[in-house]
Amino acid sequence: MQRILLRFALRGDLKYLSHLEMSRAMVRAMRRAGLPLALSQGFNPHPRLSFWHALPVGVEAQEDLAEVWLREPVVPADAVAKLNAVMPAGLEVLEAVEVGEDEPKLTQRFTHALYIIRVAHAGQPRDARGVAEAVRKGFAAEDGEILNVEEDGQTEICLLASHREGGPQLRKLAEKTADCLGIGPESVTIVRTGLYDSRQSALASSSGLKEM
Amino acid sequence: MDFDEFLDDVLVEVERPARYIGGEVNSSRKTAGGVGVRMVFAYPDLYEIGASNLGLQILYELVNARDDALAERVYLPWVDMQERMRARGIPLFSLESRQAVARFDILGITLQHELTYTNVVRLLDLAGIERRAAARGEGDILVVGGGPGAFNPEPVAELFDLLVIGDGEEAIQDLVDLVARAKARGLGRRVLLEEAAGLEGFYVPSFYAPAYGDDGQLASLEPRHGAPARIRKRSASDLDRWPLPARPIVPFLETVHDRANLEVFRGCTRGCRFCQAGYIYRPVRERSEEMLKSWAAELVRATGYGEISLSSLSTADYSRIHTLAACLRDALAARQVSISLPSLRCEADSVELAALTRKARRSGLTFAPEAGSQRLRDCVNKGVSEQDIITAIGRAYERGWRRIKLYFMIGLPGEHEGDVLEIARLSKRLLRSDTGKPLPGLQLVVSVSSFVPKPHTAYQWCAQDRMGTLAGKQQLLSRELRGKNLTFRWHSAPASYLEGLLARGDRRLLPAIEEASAAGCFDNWSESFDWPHWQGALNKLNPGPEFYVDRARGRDEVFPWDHINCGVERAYLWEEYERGAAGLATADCRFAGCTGCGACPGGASMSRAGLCVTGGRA
Ligand code: SF4
Ligand code: SF4
Repeated sequence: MQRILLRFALRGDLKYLSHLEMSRAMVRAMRRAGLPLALSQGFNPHPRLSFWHALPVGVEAQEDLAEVWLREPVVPADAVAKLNAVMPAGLEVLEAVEVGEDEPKLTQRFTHALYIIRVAHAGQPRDARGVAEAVRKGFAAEDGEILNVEEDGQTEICLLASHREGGPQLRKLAEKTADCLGIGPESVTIVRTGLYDSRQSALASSSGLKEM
Repeated sequence: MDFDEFLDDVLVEVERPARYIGGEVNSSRKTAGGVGVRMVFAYPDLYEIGASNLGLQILYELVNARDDALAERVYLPWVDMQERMRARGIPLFSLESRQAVARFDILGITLQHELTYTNVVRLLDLAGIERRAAARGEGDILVVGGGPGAFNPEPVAELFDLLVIGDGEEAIQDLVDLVARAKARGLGRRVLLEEAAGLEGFYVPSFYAPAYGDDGQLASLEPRHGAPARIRKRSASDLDRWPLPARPIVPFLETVHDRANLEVFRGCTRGCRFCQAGYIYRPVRERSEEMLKSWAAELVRATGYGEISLSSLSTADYSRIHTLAACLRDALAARQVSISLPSLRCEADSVELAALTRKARRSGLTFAPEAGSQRLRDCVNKGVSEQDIITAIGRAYERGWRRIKLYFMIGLPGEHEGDVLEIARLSKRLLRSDTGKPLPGLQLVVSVSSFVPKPHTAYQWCAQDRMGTLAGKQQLLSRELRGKNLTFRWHSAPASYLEGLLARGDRRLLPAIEEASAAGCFDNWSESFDWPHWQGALNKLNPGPEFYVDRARGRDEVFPWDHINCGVERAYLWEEYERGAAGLATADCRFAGCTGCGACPGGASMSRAGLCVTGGRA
């Protein structure tokens, strides 16, 4: 048995898939790629595959995680190439890494995430500091920490969230952001940029952004 | 109009947005540049219902395989999406390239079920296409229908420029050729339709004028412009020449038939007298075992499905089904793909077959005795005895199945109260073994639908039970079918009534269909089956719905589908009707020789030439 961690991205229209739809697409790609999937025991055997917390419909992920158990060992880099050859456009495997069988679950190993909340504004640019203030006022502690707000044709709010206790309600967060800024929710999109094992590593990865 | 932007705005708000995004594995990425004929296939129901349809998958791949044509798809959006489209002035657009449907050359609509007819109207409205073929002009899209509904298309015939009767594999090539030629030479619409009317299996409704008698009956349907008096269905005689889709689209959504489809054969000659599919798809045409094996492997590689369904009208009748099933099981086990058979005969042999293919017994088995009493089973030519059913279920129990579903019909011609009660008696009897011992843990789900007489069957003359009669029979059953391990399910009587009306209707029904569609009826989708709205529309019919539904028709009455020639002759069907009334069995021509239905061009000689297979079975 081999346990493989897959880092993958979910982009474009595939962000509209439900978690179940995305996971089915993943299993089917694995079968097309001919990976030797290990099956669970029991009445209705299914491939042993687990994901990090479900991504809400409409949120893109530059990084998401899955773990799959294989009956026979494969070379991780080969698996990446084979999978990407048969993936639907919008799903892309970035990396595969072998994981020890006794490692804890994905959700225990990866607890923090960075998000970019993007606000499209038709024409009138906003003042970054004003946006930061408005949003900060509207957000609660459990929504995450606002690390940075950038203003460059569109407003980008960088958010660090802990998923230890379930994590932020991203769809609500988009609505909240829209409310804070007095715009329609369709102008707000959220992208997850990375998953991390601690707040520190998330911060380190976001350094380069100035803390506000 | 920017469809991308529209979708971006609304997709997070609607139910199941994956219905609208396209981009599925194996969907076409052809672009219009340089391509001659652009076709869009529509299934007039939700994505998750339409995407599983094998016929459309076959045609989609055939058109896209051509250099001079492309095919895209569209389904009916759910009401939440329809509202948003209307509010923003967005017309129906295709899934692949997101182009307005109205701007394609051909719109191919499949008529799978009568209860989707209101949806066809809705689809045209959403696409901004004139409803009536007569109102479309030069440069407008050609609206073409097909599927089983095309065997009596009259209630919706005026919506179509053309209908294709029978198998689509060859006909679709003719259609694309014709439109390509018309485009290249600048042929007018009328010339194109006249040429189409000359092709086998092509029906141009506007070339036929109905006349009605004082009694309300159809007097005649006169062909004009040189169109043939009867349209002979297309039938692909050698299916091995027409491969199954090698790379069918793999939907993201969970669909009603969420597995790969391996069509083992087409047609069924068991001869159940109520069964339209059994008559209209004759004769039986098997695919070769070698082809099926290689397709199965290819299907798994191309789709990644974990299950392949051996689909056919009565799959267990395939002449080498045991060896095929065993081979496929062994070949696919290494890839952890299982195979399944959707339909079983009420025979122990069939159970063995299911046991061979299915490791998981949890999913349950389904048997269709159709009628509760032996008398009525004999009338409908369902050649199965009570002992067969008891043995089959006993065997399934031994093999580990605990959940078994039984299909029955009420309202079959000649049914008495005693026959209805027999459904309850038989079901209870089946909870015990051959020797009368209880079978602990066995759960029977008894599903009872209402019989609807269909065109081109032995019962096309019969009156359908009134709703009140059906409701009475359902009540009787719900009283009698009580018990710890019995679950009783039945179908809505109004839905069956409507199905019956549309199945044997004529062109005078179209205004009612249009009105029901305008009132928002999204039929076939039980949640929104809207009987009160329908009633309003039906009240205006003249003659009224009872003329079509609950009236026994005369032996020589002109039927609205007489001009559609499915191969099986009317005289044969009448004879079958009479034999049924007398309780006489008619044997399956695959095993007992030709019974002269008329479907084979050479009749019995064709069956001897090997079309109707007897080899390899005991
Ligand atoms: S077995 Fe009977 S009911 Fe089934 S497809 Fe054949 S004719 Fe129809
Ligand atoms: S013509 Fe004869 S052999 Fe052919 S389907 Fe009919 S009964 Fe069977």
